[in-house]
Amino acid sequence: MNDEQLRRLYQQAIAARESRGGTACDVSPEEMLALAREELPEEQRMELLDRVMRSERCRGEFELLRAVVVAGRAMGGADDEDDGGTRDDVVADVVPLDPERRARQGEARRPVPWWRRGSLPMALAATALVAVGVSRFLGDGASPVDVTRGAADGVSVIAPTPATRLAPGARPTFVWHAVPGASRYGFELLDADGNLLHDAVTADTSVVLPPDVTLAADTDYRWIVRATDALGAQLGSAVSQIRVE
Amino acid sequence: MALSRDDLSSALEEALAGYMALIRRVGWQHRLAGADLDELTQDVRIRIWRARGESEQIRPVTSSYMYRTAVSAALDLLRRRRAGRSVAVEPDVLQARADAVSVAVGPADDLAESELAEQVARAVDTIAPARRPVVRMHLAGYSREEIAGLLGWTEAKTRNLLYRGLADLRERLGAQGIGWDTTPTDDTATQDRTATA
Repeated sequence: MNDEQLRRLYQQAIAARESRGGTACDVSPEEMLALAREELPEEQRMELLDRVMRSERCRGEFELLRAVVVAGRAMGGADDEDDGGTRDDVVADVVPLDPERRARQGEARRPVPWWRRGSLPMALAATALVAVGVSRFLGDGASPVDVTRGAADGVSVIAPTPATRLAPGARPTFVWHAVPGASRYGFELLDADGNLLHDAVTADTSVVLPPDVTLAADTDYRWIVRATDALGAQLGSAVSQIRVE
Repeated sequence: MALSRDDLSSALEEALAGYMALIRRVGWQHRLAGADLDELTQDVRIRIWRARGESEQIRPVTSSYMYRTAVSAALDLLRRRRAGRSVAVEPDVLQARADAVSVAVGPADDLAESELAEQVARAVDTIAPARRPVVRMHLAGYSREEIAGLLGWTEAKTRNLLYRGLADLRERLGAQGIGWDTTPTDDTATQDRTATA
């Protein structure tokens, strides 16, 4: 039994329990929304997540609210209820947080530099560029980037995850979280040897693989995203891996 | 001047399309049902239409307004379901999901696998509360990065508690005669573990 089989068994048990009426969702929609908006203190977050995740029905409801919140952030709609912001004028991730958590993120989530996590040959070539970008994102006074939340973390990817298994010829959509202050994002898909297969620059927080790029079976690929602010400062994501079965 | 229904519809769809596409992109990876999103889209559409009946009012709908409308519509959708006035996920659908993740090939295998699955779920139920949500999310298919984001933890803390939580699970399964040999791989990919039942 491997990790994937363990997951399958667990998910099977959760679904079977619910089909027998054995697991009720006892988390209110309002609590789920607060959880999705990351407004709760840690202890409460843990307790609610445990209750949400033990019920497939509950998890589905939570995911619906979470998708609304994450998408709202990506388009800037969750910034400020009165700002009237549009996708073009702000790309931010500032659903209100409890003050304790905001302070903690400033400390605890300072990143391990992305170029030290992966093993790609191109990481060395990109180091100088990213190092300059990181120093500017972290507040040398020259950049307008808001570093109160998120920017110091690098670009956080959403999907595909390393656990994702793609079919040969699939055209996945690569999605990442918005970075406060970023005006555009550079996307790169590389093969296992670090050869560039596809790149794109977008103001969006996603890229769809075009039809002329074919993903081969039994192959690993890696992808990265670089956020750029109005003054050209850059910040990279960790290197994410995907696997085509 | 009166505006045609087509004018209104076009303006509204223009305002909706981008946001709902984003929601779909975020939702697909966690098996968010397409029917849920369709129902939500329709609710948001109707709300905006009612609140802003003229296309000149609909066209400049801001992202902030759209977000608030979607949040409100999603909450109401969930409340309606719980009140039993709308079709939620029914038991037969859940059973179909359970069947869909099963790979048993016959009644005996089916029973054995169901029992094993229930053993796994019961073992997870007994993990220490401080580690249990992490293990549940991992088994539900969430990446460590997502878990860290939801809990507001660093990746290192998440990895540590997941490792301990899975060790707890191994211990509990082992006590039931299900041997599980943990073999962590690298620190970036999902940890690969092997087990023998």
